[in-house]
Amino acid sequence: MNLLSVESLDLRFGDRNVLSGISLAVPANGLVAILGRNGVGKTTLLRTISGLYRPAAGRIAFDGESIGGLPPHKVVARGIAQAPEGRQLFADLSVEENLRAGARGMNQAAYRRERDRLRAMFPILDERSTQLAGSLSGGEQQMLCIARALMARPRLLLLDEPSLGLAPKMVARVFEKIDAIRAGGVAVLLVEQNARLALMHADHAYVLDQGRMVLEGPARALIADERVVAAYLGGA
Amino acid sequence: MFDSFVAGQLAIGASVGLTYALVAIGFTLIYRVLSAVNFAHGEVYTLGAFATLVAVTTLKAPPLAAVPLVIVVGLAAGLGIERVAFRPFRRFTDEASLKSRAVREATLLSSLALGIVGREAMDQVWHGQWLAIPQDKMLNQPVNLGGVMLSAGELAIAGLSLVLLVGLQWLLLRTRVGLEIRAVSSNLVGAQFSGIDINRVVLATFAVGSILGALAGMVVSLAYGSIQSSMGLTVVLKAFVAMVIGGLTSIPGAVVAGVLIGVAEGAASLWVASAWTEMVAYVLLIFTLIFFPRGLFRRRGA
Amino acid sequence: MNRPLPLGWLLAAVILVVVPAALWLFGSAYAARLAQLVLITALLAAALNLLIGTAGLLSLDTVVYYGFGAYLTAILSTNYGTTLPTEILAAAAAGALLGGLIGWPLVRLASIFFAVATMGLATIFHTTVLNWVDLTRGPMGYRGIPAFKLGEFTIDGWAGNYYVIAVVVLGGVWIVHRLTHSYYGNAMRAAREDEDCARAMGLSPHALKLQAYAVHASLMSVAGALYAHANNFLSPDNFVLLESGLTLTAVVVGGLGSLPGAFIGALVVVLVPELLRPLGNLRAFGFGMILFLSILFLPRGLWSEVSSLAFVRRHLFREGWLKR
Repeated sequence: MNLLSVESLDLRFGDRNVLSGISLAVPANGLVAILGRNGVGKTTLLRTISGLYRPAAGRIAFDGESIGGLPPHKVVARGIAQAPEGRQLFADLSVEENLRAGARGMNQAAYRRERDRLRAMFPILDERSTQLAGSLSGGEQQMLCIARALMARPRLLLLDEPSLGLAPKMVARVFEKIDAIRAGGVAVLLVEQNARLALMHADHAYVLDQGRMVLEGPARALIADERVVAAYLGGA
Repeated sequence: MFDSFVAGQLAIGASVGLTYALVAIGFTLIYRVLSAVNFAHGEVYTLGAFATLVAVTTLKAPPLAAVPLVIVVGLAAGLGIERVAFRPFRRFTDEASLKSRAVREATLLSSLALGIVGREAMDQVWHGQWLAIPQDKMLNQPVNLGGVMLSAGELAIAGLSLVLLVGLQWLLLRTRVGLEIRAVSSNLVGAQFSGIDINRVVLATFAVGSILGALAGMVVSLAYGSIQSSMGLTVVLKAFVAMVIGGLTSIPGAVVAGVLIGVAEGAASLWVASAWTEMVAYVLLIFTLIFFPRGLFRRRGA
Repeated sequence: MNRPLPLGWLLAAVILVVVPAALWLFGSAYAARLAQLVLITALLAAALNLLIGTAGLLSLDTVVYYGFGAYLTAILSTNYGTTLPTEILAAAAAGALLGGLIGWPLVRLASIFFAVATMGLATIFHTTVLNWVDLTRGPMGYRGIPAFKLGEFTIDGWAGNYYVIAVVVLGGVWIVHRLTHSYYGNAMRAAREDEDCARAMGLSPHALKLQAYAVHASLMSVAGALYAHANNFLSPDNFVLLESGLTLTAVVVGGLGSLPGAFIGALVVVLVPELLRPLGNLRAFGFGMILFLSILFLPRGLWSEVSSLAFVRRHLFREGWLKR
């Protein structure tokens, strides 16, 4: 059974249809990518899954239970965490405090265990633990953003443009971490501009255009698909 | 040259200033979290004073026993204000509307309106009269502090202010709810993605801020003895001024500015007729804003 | 609202013909007084509308300029026997000058700082009026202000007063209307929405806001001049912060940026508290409730430029009370 399944989701802002008839599925332990140009609704879709927007129609189910319309904090409590676009860190709080704010309902010992596990995964966060989040470099901020989301011990991690604005070397490192997270048993739903990179890491991918799903398939098939190559990979 | 009269006026000014500071702390806390001004905050202060009056007269309790009642009243008032004047404007959860100018101004006006309604309602209940705390319940024992005569009440104001200030720093820096309050005030959207329940944090903020406001009303009524339904108005305006001079989001800034205003009023009373001292805070405000358009103590990143 | 509106003519006809006729047929001195107060409040609301609705400055200093104009007129007419045109011009010019001087440092402030500073001004003004007894006669109030004089003629009786006020108020509102619906009004709205963008277009937000502030001060000062004569008596209590709140309520109820709304708002904030009078001193309570309920239930009146009339009409149509 799929961990996350979205069926015929519609979202409206006022009288404008932003998303229509979106369906997608993320299997347990899968890595699924959503591709598409700027402004086609990728970020909006992730935010809707996280509960920031209330869908007009359709069903969002996590682990077989409907989560559509739940407020964001309840979605996190169910096991879906997001490292959002623009990172949205607590800039005037320390790195450590950012991690602590991301932790949900765990005692001090569990918190330490979790934090130390993430520090092992992202050593830079250990070095910078007392520094303010706003003073980190872009790559470090992205690591902190992902680590903060993982502090909630999610079963599904939503990643919105993790490579945005990062140097190529840093991008490669972020994607190494994504593979590691997935290897650790957390399913990942990834929104990414860099389609080639995303397809190289994902098992399955969807292509979003103008608020609709226009294409889907195994990543291996899409990377060879002429239409995808022409529209999204040509220049990249 | 040490002039004990001058020193006394300044000390009284400082203790009055601390009450502005206490009210300003609640104000500032709420502003930090919601970027909104709670104009009904002064009525919480007045309610705290009336709760004290009821406790010591109707219930014949000793002054200190009024504390739990005042806390409960402050808590209820804070939660009520949030529910009635703020919650209805948080219908949408995206960042564009949560801290938008429209919502900020709507809540400013709705809390202003609620404050007027609350004040007038209290005016109806207590007939707008000045009511007195019985002499024997007041904290009016004189205390000689190195030649400066103060009353026990003025010292109590100073003591309570320090305790609450330290307590608040502890709450903000050492507890989970404090961390969440700081997280929400730092980045509201980020807080939502981190699984923080925004409504709960906002309620907690209103609860803490309003309890501080009600306690301020209690200690002032015990120190000075007289209570009236519009007493909160003057104080809340000065607290507002203190918050603005302090830079809007800085709690220590608001405290320093509150004391500054009180001392300036005390100093002014040495030279001008007391009727004119009402203006001191506002003249100070306007001069501060001319030279520091964003207040004196701006928090970084804010 | 962008048409040069027949609505404007309709409004003028109601104010200049229908209301006086009704007052003449059924009215009392009391009703005439209320009508005058509604008109003066409407001018205040229109001026405040220019500041909030167009320039985006939330201000609580109505009583400063309103009171300034009122005391200025009281002093001039009592001591020097001035006539109406002189007084209106003096109030307008002095109001604009004072507004310009005060506005210079003030309009730079960001929204909340500006609101607090204007609140401070209102309190400073009240304290000054209360305590500068030599000039304002202090808490006892300024009594025996003579009636309007036009040349040799003294205008008295409610009809004369009403018409003087109606004409001046309509003139003032017309000025606000012209300013709002001109290149100038658009420039101000642009500066309100995005200062940086306006600057990039070669507009100076500071100058625009300062001009709006001075014009609003000037109009409020004129409203004060009318009030001084209409009431014959001024007291510092007429100019407390709460009265600024009253004008703000009129603007909010009427709808931001809507001039017919200014009249509707003024009507509501003057009449509803009057209706509550038999229940005791509930005036402030009454407009507190009005302000609260209108923010809650007419939010569009608050931050979008919707004509209140259109809003009411739409609702009535939807409810099926009126046929299209």
